[in-house]
Amino acid sequence: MELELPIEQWSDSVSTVVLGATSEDGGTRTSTVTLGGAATLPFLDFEGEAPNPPVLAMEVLDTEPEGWPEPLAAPFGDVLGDPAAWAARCVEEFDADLICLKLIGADPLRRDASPDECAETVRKVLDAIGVPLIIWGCGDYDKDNEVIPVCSQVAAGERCLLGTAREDNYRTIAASALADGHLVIGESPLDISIQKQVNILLTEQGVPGDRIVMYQVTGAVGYGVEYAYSILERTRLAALTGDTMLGMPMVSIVGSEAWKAKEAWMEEPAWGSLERRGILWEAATAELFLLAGTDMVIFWHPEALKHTRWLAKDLSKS
Amino acid sequence: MKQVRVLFEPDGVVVEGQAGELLLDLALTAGLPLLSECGGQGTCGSCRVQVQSGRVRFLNRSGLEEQIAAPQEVLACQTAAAGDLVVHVPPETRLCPPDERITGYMGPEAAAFLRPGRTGFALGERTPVQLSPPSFDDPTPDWERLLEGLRQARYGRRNITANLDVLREIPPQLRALDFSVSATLVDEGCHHRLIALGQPEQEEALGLAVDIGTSNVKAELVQLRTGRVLAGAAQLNAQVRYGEDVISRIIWAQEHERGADELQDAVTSTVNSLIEELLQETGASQDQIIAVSCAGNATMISFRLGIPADAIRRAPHIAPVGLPPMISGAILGLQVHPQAAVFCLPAINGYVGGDITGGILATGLFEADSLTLLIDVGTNGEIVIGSKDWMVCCSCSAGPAFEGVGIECGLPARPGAIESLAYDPDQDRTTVRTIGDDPPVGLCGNGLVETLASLLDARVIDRVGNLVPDFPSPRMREANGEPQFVLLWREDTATAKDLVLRQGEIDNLLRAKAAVFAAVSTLLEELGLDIAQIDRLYLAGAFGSHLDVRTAVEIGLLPDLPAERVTVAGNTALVGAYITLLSSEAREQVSSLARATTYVDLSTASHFMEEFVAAQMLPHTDLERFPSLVSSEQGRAGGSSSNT
Repeated sequence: MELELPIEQWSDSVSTVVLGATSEDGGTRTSTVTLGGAATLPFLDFEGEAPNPPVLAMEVLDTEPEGWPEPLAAPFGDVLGDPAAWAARCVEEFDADLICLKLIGADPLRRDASPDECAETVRKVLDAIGVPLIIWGCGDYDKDNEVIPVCSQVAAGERCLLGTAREDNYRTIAASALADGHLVIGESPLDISIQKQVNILLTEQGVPGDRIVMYQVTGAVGYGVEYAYSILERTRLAALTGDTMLGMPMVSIVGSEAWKAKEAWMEEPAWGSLERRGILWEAATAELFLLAGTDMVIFWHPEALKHTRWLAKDLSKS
Repeated sequence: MKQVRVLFEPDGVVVEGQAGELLLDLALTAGLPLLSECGGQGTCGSCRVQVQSGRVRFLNRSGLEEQIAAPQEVLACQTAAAGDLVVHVPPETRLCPPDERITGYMGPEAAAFLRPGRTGFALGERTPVQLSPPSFDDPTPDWERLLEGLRQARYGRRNITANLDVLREIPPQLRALDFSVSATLVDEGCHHRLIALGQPEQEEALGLAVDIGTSNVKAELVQLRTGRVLAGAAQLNAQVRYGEDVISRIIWAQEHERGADELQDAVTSTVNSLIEELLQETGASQDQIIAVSCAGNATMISFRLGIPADAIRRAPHIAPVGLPPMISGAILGLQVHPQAAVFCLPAINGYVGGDITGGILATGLFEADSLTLLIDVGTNGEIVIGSKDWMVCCSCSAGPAFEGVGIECGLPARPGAIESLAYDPDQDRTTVRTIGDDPPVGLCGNGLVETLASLLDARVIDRVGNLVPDFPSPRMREANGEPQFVLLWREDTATAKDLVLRQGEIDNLLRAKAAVFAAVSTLLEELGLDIAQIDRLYLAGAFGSHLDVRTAVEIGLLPDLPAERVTVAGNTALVGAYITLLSSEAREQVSSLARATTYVDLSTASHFMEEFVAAQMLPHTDLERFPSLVSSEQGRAGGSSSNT
C-alpha cells in the first residue's frame, strides 16, 4: 500500500524583501540579497515554495571589541579595529551574504561617537564591500535618532536595512528610510502583538510592507530559547495564514547573544573543548532559529556561519 | 500645643486646629474634603492646594518650618500648619460629591420581581393587624394571639420570632392600642422577626438601597410598601484616603493598629452621612428605615462588616463571606432603626462581589434566552457571560483611570465634568459639552473615551497612544520631560489652568481599556465563543448613559458589536440592591445565581497577558476583530488585514 504524506496547504507566503541596490537601481552594490518569499514552514519544501535560502550575515562593530575570548577573536587577526577591513574579510574569506554594521560606538555610555563619525564609518564599510549593508544603531533612543538620519543620507540609494524601529521610537528612522530609499527593521521585545503593532505603525507612516524586516529580541540556547522559538514559529504561521502585518521576513541576531552565554567562553574542562564550544553554541542557536522560521541570521564567528550554511543546504536537499 | 487658625478660600471657612496638623485633615474638619487618591502618601499630587500666606512645615522636604512669602502650591497631605494660614482650594482638588439622582438599567426579568403578587416579602414590612381581645372562650396568650393575627393577615406558615425587648412590649401595647396594631417585621430568610409594634396608622416603613463602591457610595431611600424611590444621594467613599484601590486598603488595614476599625468607621460615616442627607431631603425619621440592602465588592462588604479581608489579597483570592447572614443595623453603627435588617448581596469570589451579582440580577442576565455579556467598569473591571443556562465571570484590574482617578484632569461625573469632547485639527479648536453646562473643570469617563477617539482621529496620537511630537499645534508641548497635549486653554476652564492630557495618562487609559477588552476576549476564548455570538451587551459602571457606544468601540474599549445590541446600563449594582430590598424572591434568586456562576481566574488563563498587550492599540492590534471599523480604517491603516 502506498503511503500518502499529508501536505499542509497555506493560504499566503512571507513577503519578499530585496536588500541592496546595484547600479541599475541607482546604488553601488555589486550584488543584492533577497529575503523571505517562503510559502511553507522552513525546510518543508515539499509543501510549498521556498525560493530564497536562509541569508547568513556577519556583524561588524564600529568599535574594537574588548574582552573577546581567543577562539572568537582569532579568525579576524588584526582587522577588529578597522570596520572596513573587518567587513571585507567577512565577505571575501568567510562567505558572508551581507554585513551588519553595528554602531555601538555612538552609545553615550561608550565612545559617544558623533553622527558624522558614524556616517564616515558607514561610508568606509560600503566602499570596502559590494554586498548589501545593514546599519544598526546603538540602542539609545535619542542618540539613534541623531545618528541614523546622517548615516542614512551617506548611504542614500544603497537600499540598506536600517535598525531598529521600536514602538515608541519609529518616526525618525521610518522617515530616513523613506527619504533615502532604505528599508527598516521593526523591533519588538519578544512579543508577537508588539511586533505587529510596530509593523502597523511603520505602515501607517508610509513604509511599505516589502521594506520592513522584523526583529524579535531573542537570546541564545539555554536562555529561554524555547519561548523565542515559539514566538518566531507563530510569527511565520501568522504570515502563512494571511496576516500581512506579520508577513515580513525575520532577522535574528545570534553572534552577540551566543557569546554572552557563559557556556560559550568559560574555562570548564568538564564542558569540553573551549575552542569549539562557543562556535557550536552560536551555530546551535542560529540553526534553531532557522528551524523556527527566521529568514536571516547575523553571526559573529565564521565557523558558526559555515556550520549553519552546511546544515541549511543539507536540510534543503529534498 | 500651639493653636492655629486656617482660612480656606474661596469658601471663606475658618477652622481652628493645632500646629502640626496636616492641611488635608484641617480641610476635612472645615467640611471641605479633598481628593487624596494615594491615601496621603504624597505620591499622587491630587490634594494640591495653594498656601497664600502663613507658616507651614513640609514633611517631604526639610521638615523645618517655612514662612510662605508668595503663594505656593503644596500637597495638603505633606504639609502641616505651623502658624495661621490662608489656603486656596482649587476646584479640581475638591472631593465634591456627584449630586445627581442615581439611575440604572432594570431589565424586564428584574422588574418582574416587583410586580404585585410576585414580590414575596420586602426585606422589611409594616403590617396592620386587627386582633380580637382575649376572653374565657379564647384564652390564647398575647404573643400567640399576635402570631395568629400576623399569619392570617400576611405571613401564612412563616416562622416568626422576636427579641425579648419587643416581647416585653407586646402585652402593654396590645392593650393600649385596643388590639389593633401595626407590626413591623423584617425578613431574615429562614424566619421573620418582629422588631416593633405600634399604632395602626404609623408612618411608612422605608428601606435603603446602597451601592458601596471602592470610589463612590450611592444610596436611594425607598418606600417599602410601594417601591417608590423618595430620594437618592452619592458621596465619595471616605475610605479613599486610605488608598485608591482595594488592595492598598487591605494592606493599610493590616499594617495599622485598629486599621480595619478605621476603614469600617470611614465607610459607616459615609453611609450615615448619606442617610442624613436623604432623611433631610424627605423629612423622614431614622426609625422609619427598617431595611438596608447593600451591594458592594467583597472587600467593601468585608470592611463594612468588619471582617478581615486579607484572604481576598492572597491566592486563591476567595471572599471571606459570600452571602453574609442577616445583620441588624445597630450592630453596624448605621443610623437606622436599631433592629433594621441589613442584607448584603452575595459575592461570587474575592474579586467578583455583590455589585456584580446585583448587576446580573438587574440586567436579567440570569434569565436571558441568548448569550449576554455584562461588563462593569469600575476600579476593577468585572465581566459576566452567560444566559439562563449557565454563567461564567472573571475580573481584571482595570485601574480607576476611567473613573477619572490618576488623571490630573479626571473627575467623577459631576457638574462641570466634560462628557463630550471633539478636537478639530484644522481650526486647532476644541469643543466640549459638560454636565450641567457648567464651565469645564475636568473630564469624566465619557469625556475621556471621546477625547481618546478624537485625538486619534486628528492624529494627535498614533495608534499606540504616543503623542505625535511634531504635531503642528502649540497645544503639543512637553513638561518635566513628558509630552502633553493641551485640550483646553486656561481661559476656557473653570480652574484657570490649562486642561492637559499627559503621555503617562494616555498610557493609563490605554491600559485600562486593554485590560477590560482582554478580559472579555480571554473569557470568550476560554469558553470557545466568538464575540459575534453575543446577543446583548450591558456596560455598567463608570460611564454615564450618554456614552456613545460607537466611540467606545472605536477606541477598542468595547468589542465590535452593533450599537443596538449594547445597553449602557449605569449603576446596576444599585438597581440590584433596590430589587432585593423589595423582593424575597429576588433575594433568593441573587443567592442562587451567585452559587451558579463560575469564576475564572484570569491569572491562570494562559492568554490573558497576550490579549492585554494586543489590546493596547487603538482600537486593537488585530483590526479584523473590528470588522465594522475596517472599511473606514482602510485608508488610515494601509489596508492591513490580519488574523493572528
